[in-house]
Amino acid sequence: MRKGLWPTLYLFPASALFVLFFVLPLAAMIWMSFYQQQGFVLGTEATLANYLNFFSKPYYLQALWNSLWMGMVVTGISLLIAYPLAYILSFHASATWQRIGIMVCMLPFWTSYVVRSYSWLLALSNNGVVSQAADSIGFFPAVGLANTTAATIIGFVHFFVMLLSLTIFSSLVRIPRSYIRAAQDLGAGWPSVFTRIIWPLSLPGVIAGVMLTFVLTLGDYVTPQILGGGKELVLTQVIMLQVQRQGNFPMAGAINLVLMAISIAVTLIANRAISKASR
Amino acid sequence: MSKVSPAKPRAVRPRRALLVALAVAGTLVVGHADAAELNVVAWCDHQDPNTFEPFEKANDVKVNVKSYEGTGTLVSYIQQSTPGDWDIVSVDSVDIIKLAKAGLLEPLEEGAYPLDDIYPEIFMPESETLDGKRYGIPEKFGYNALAYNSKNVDADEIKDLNALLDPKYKDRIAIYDYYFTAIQTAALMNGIEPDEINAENMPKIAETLKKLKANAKLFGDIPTVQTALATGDVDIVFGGAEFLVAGMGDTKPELTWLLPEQGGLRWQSSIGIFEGSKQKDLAKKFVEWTLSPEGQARFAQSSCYWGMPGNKKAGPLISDEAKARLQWEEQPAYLERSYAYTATDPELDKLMVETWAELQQD
Repeated sequence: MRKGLWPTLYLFPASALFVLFFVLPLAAMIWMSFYQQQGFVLGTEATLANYLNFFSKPYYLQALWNSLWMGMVVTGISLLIAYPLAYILSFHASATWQRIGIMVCMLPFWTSYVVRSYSWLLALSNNGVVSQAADSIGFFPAVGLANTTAATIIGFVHFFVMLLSLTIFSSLVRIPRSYIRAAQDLGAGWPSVFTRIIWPLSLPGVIAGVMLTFVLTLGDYVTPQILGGGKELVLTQVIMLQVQRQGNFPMAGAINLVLMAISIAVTLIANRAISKASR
Repeated sequence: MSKVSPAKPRAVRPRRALLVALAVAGTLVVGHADAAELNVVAWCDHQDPNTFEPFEKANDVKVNVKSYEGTGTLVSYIQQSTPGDWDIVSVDSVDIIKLAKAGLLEPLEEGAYPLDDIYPEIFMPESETLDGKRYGIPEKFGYNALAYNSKNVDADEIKDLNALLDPKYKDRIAIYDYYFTAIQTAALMNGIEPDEINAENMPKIAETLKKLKANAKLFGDIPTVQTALATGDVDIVFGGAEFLVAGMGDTKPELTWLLPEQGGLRWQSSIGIFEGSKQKDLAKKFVEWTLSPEGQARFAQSSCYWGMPGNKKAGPLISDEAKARLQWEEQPAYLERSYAYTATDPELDKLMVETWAELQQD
């Protein structure tokens, strides 16, 4: 065998895994979404019925809106908290504190996603530590936040603030300090330095983080299922209802493809925005 | 003293690496094929090793249990498998007929199993038999009724389901989010029996559910409503019963359950053997063990969830305390006042799903 073929062969395991466990299942899901479930078997005629069903039923559209709304709210709140945190770490912390800060940001990634959500559920319940602490200091009465949309937002924000902080921090630390000093030497105040140097140069990190946060929030099932209380379903919960309760995989596939289309669109828009911001 | 020369990086030898990888993979495959194993697909109560440990020892076999959390998931497991992958299935009694009609189940020899010892009320011939042949045997049952915290709720007040609509229970109720049982229980609140539900009376049932939702703190699956009840977030679970609270009796004795005056739904699972099983004798022995008094006593107290054993003869092997948690003495009355899950026609099922989805998003 010629030596030149070995690099190609090295690619084979990864490519085979990718095709077997991503491309083929995705193709199967797309194919299946054009059929209808009839008992334990698939119907024989290809149809757009699942898609028509999705766009004609208010509860599916409501779930879509709930998902988009949740994505926007979580992304907005996370950004408001993460940017100042990354800014302080980047510009006002010593190297040691930066390392500690990054370590703290990575802590949530070390815990199981499900365990973290259940921990929040316990903390936010009527007898949980958050409600009890708030009650004991007389800040507000011990109302159980568990099983509410607010609880879902808290669970998401806790995770995504850390993710966003890391992406924004990576952009901020790369900004040459000489630009800032030059601007200050020329008489620019902090607002001017921030709006004309720091913010524009940190935009690629902000956009990447915002895109990740929005898309991951949109596709998450565990957090809303455990913390949300089920009174306002998001799209991923509706997909799971189709799978678990109905065994209606074609309908679940169709809904999932709508979700994927939105995620792909957001990713493309973000990529274009990052290219523009990096110029 | 000799100099230590720096270690040279060793060239990776792809062919050798490939051979080693294949040898390791081959060992794993051969090792896997050598062990005698019985593959079971079932609700999670079968997953407790304590329930089948004596069977494993007696037959020198390893029992592998794949659990599912909804019939839909079971369908996906079956669709993705080939004949011979599974030996045993445990499924809602009402769904046995679907598997039998799809040619997936082996007929069971009635004389080989203790059918006379099983509560006669839980047999469902229309769902467990096809063309005179039996494909499933009921093994465990329980109810979708009301689970509640006895410290905070008076049982006498909530034994009438309509009491749950009282504003005093606002934000104190969790609704188990299985549309099928929730809608049928709401029908009972309107004096409509499960088999009388139709498109005409569905709006009335939906209206009742809407009022119930106004008082509910949450809708959730089993872990969610169980956690909410255990943490004190809610005091009542609509649709809950022994499967939710009996297993927590040691740590949360205040959590209990009742079957309301209007009655409730009765869940029950049946066991069957896959037609494609390559070890039917062993599978048959497993069914015999599961239905034996000892198997049933263990199975009734599975760590995943408790339920009444189908075999009455399990009684002497179950402690009085455990019987109290299962409300053993009440069973004759409960069986009389409860309605087993029944198959609904696809159109009605679709309507029920839509009614439920609209309710949750309303």
